Amino acid sequence: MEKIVTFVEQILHSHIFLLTLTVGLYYAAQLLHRRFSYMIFNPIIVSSLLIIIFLRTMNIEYAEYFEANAIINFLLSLSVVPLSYLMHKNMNRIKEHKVSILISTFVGSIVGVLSIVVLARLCGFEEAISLSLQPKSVTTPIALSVSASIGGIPPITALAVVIAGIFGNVAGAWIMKVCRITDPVARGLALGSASHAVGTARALEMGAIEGAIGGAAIGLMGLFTAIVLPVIGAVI
Amino acid sequence: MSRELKGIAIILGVYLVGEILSRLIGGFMPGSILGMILLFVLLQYGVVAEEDIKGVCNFMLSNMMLLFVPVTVGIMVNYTLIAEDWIAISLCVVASTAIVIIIVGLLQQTLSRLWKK
Repeated sequence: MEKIVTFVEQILHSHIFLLTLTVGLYYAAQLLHRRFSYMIFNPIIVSSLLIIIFLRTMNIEYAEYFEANAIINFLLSLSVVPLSYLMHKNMNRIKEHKVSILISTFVGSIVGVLSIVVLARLCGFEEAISLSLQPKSVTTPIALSVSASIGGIPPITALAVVIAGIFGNVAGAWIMKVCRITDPVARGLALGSASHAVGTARALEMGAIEGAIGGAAIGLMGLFTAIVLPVIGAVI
Repeated sequence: MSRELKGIAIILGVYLVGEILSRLIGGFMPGSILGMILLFVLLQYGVVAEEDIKGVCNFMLSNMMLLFVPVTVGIMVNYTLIAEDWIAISLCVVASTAIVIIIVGLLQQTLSRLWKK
């Protein structure tokens, strides 16, 4: 009996099991989402929650899970590169709007940072928390390096980036419907600027133009926020 | 030799060059973003053929959301950092994200209608 328990434990802690858990549960969550397309059945939220519950119940450390899923994190960084293919394919559309895209994204980067500064003061957060939340709309690798350089706490930034991404992914389409934002370029730009690659993944589902513009917005937002943040920090 | 293999080799190679550039400039921009810019330039100048990377890119882009799962599961460790304030912090992030969506979306929509360009 004890042998069987040890054996099962070994399997549960193996890399191949923990990796299959991610892909398998995500796939299942996607099926569920197709069946009942409510916002709360967002596949990222459902699969992550199930995985968290599973790891807690089985007493598996997050570090162990993370190590087993290292390949997925590598692919996460890598998946930014193919966005250029979308931009290239929709270049005519982007060129038509290049000035307005640059202006809107630049304004977006300032609004993203200033709104956090104001909200954090209203809530009475410490300065370090506010600084950690400011780069939230930027893709994870940029957000983490920016956060560390302005005096934020990187794990809190990582959390804020995930929340901003998932919120845009789940509620972005609804917010834009309420505000009557119907233009495909504006929709893609809004999702990519506010919710980086997670928002862009949703934009991709709306259409190729939305996705391509979202991809461009990730790069621009990263660049602008990295420039704007230290300036705002110095002024305020 | 399959086209997919060529596509994977190109994307990895571009990412590698982006990573090298990123280290050379002291990590100011991550290698993935520099790789994205580089591949974009290579596609625009016809150095890389669209056909070669099309299959791999479409596959990666259409399954991108899966890749966010491990980071999201990370909430289970990081939430303790903000334990007392987690509701307020989440609301701040959510509100600010909504503001950015509305401002960027409306501004872009208004500007493209005004200028038609």
